[in-house]
Amino acid sequence: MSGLRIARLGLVVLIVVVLQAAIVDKLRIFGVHPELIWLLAMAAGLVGGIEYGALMGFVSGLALDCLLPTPFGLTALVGVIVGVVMGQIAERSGFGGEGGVWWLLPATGAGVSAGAVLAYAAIGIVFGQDQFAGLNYPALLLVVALGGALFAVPVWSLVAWGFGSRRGAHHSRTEASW
Amino acid sequence: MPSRRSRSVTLVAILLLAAFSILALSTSSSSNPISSGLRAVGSTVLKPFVAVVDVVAKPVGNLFQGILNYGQMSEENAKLRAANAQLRTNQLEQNYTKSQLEQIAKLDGLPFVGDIPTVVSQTIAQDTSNFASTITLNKGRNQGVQVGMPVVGAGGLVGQVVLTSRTTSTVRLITDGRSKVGAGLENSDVMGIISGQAAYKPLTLNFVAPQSGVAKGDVLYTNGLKGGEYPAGIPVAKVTSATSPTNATQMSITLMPMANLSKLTYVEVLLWNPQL
Repeated sequence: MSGLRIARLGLVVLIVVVLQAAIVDKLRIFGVHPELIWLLAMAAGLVGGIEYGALMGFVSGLALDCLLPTPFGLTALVGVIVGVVMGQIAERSGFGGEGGVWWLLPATGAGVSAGAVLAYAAIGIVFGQDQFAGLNYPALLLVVALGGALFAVPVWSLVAWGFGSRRGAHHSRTEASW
Repeated sequence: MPSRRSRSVTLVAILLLAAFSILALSTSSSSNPISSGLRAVGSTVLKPFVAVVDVVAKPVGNLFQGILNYGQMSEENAKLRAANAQLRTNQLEQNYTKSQLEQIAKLDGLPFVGDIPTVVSQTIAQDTSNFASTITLNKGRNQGVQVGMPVVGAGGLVGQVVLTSRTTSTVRLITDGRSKVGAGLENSDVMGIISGQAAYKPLTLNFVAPQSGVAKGDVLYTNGLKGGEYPAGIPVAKVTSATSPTNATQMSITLMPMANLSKLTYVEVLLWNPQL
């Protein structure tokens, strides 16, 4: 992994985490706001493969955890899972976020966001956060999935820029190294 | 040289283990030095960026709120256009200032605060997570705010400080699913635990024996028992329904907070530590 790529991806994490905390948190519908953080891990998995997806999920999740009142490390854990799953899918299917039908990336963003929220809740409950069971999940899933669909392309583009190539790292593995 | 596959597996295993360990540490004890230290460092680094973007992007948030309330905004604008522009501006400014002063004045001399020293704080953010009911205040450790301190507003108890940085603090509202408040009725032996469920859901009073005499309209106060997390005598919630289902071991009681949790521009942090 080159120094320039590390710096760019670090900047991408900073931008998205700050945007989430300063702006997206206030875009509330039914008392729920979209969550960009899962899209970072998703995009890194799609563009860079499993390793980058896992790293991005961990780092961005831990950064956001610093600003949240929920258990520290929970977002990071779910972020790693999202990154690994999306990296696996990308490496097997060859879908890196571009090409194919136009709605595929937004639909992936919606599905990943909804799935990540459910995983977050389930793992949280396992770790003693019983209050997660009482939330309004229809509204939560609807808003988070809509947000995921809406922001999937911008976040993916930002992450692709971070990799320094729209084709991403896992498409040119011979030259990619971390 | 390890194959790429085994390298991936190793990296993923390390990251999963790290995340799992941090999570386990933070959930085992809220004051774990490793997890709370990491959080404090990250928070200190990130919050200045968030604050700057927050100020710059405020008009965007206002625009979004305007779009969501378009019908109401249009009607309001039609009425306002009829008024003199300068007068309108002055009037709005005066109203805003008056409203702010009224809210601060309501905090002045809250009877239930007694002689406990307080820090008046402004709410700068609400519900930063979809999974918790919280507010963020503009006062932190530099002003003496510590984790565990109770927070009150006009009307009664608002919540408890759960995170602090040097300049901000996060308060878990009493409606949050993790909130538990020991409470009792005034001039009565009835005591129970007031539990939050989630934002926009009523509070519940648990562990009250059937036929205990709790009725709609009763007000519950913090009981201040030794080991409790709040001083005694703070109004918490009013009973909205109370029934004793047949064969039940406890009453079914729902409550609404005494403080208006949807309008928490200013609150007071009680500089009072739980009596452990």
